[in-house]
Amino acid sequence: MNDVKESTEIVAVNDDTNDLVVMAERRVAQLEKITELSLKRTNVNDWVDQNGKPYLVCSGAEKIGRLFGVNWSILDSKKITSEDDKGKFYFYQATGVFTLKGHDSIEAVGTCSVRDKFFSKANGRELPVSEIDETNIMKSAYSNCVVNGITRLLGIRNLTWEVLERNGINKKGVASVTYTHNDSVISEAQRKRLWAMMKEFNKSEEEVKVFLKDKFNLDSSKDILKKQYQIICDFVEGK
Amino acid sequence: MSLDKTYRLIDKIIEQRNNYLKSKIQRYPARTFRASDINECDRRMVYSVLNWQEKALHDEGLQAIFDAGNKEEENVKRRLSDSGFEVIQSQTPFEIKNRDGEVICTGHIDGKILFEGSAICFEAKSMNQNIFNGIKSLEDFNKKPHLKKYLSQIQLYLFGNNEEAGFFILSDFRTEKYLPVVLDYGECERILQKLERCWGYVKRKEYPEKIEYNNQLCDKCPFTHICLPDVANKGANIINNEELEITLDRREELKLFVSEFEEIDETIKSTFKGVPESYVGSKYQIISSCRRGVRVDTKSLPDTIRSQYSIPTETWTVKINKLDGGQNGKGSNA
Repeated sequence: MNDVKESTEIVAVNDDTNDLVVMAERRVAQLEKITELSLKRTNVNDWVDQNGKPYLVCSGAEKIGRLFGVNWSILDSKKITSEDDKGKFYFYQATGVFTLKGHDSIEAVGTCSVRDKFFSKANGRELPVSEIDETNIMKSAYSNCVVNGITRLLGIRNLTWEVLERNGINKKGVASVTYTHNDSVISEAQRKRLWAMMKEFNKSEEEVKVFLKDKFNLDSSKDILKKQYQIICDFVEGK
Repeated sequence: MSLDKTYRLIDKIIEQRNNYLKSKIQRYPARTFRASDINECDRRMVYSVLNWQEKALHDEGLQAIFDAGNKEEENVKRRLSDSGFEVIQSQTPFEIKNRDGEVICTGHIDGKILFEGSAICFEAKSMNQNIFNGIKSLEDFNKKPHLKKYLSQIQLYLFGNNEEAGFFILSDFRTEKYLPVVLDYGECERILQKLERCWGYVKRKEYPEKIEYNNQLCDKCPFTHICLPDVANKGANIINNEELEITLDRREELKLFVSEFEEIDETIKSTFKGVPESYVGSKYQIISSCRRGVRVDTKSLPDTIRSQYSIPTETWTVKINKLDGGQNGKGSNA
């Protein structure tokens, strides 16, 4: 068994060739394996749907880090104050060094601003800085640093829902964080509602397609903007 | 009501429920240690007093669990009362002082039950069914750090209330389990020494050294963002061996037939129990025999006797999980 272990760890890239193409192919194959194994180690609770893109949260990054033996030290976490046209604000910045056993180290940074919409808005209203919990901002910068460090080190950034779904993580089961603004597209739930309304009010798919194209030049219901949604609902309801 | 309205109602319920839970999440000032939060890490203990304002807040999910736990504590007391027991001194505070007479730890007992002229301390704990089923004795509390804290907590309750014994009432929200606890002076001394040691740091406004990274403690610590532990993961053995993979695949295929085999085997054997010899057609002979013997029912032995004969053993359990991904991160296991 020991022989097997030594010769087959996928994390350790053994570049015993000078052929660049062979080396590149090996690395691509390894990266695919790392991605596959990483995703299978996580579950729906380790991901959030952030404005339509999958985002790995700290619990998931820690699981993956444990799996591949990633070590890290957070060197520094500091509060930085700044000012822009909206006024004064602060953000936290955590910096850490991430190492894969027997390999190179990278430095990664994680930040979180008091202006982050996740913390600065509640019930649709903007919170004053005094009402925002500073510890949440500090903790979030730390978590972002851990996620950034692990995903960068292992090369598992910018994954798509397609890749996640191939590995058993379904977008439907993942919590979503949508930053409301009228120029963003409607949510999956709103799209489902639209389909349900079409059935309820006996509107055919074809009729709605024609309406979307004529009125907004849209080819798919996935592209409906929030500001267009009510008009489309009114059309389906026959108002 | 239209389906659209129903969807909107569901969204509204989720939103308002989350807002309600969020409004309940807060930190409480800590001037001393809490009996319910005696942690294995000294540094965390010191943070809990010196840096309580920087403690990371838990999320709505955990708040819902806390709420359910508090409600269940009330339910436990009501059930006791419905069964004719008198619960007294509910949530009575107690203090632990150090040698200099300073209060270094505070807590509340869940209550005492009047029984045959005495008041007996109890601590109610609710938990999910899996954890509940895994607890069969006090030793099982040592399996997880958050359960281990319960042992320290009840020892301090007994010590702080000068009681020789008390008990846990464990609930999985459906059934209850009762575990007696005896005041253990050795364990109390260990906890008190820890409290005094940590109190010394608090008074000097200093911090103990970081412990060696322990994922069970550090990953869930609400002070990680200020402690900044150096995380050292050993990593799993990742094996690329086609032959082994094929064998495991074959094992998966055969696994499907195991339960069917066991079910049929059990049905047939139970039918022929007590029938010495039978023939089914001309293909099968079925023999049934009875062996008589005596066995010792070790489970029914009192703990005091069983512990005299206990010896340390080492058992390795090998589980094979098929990684399906998504659902639990482990996949199905066998």
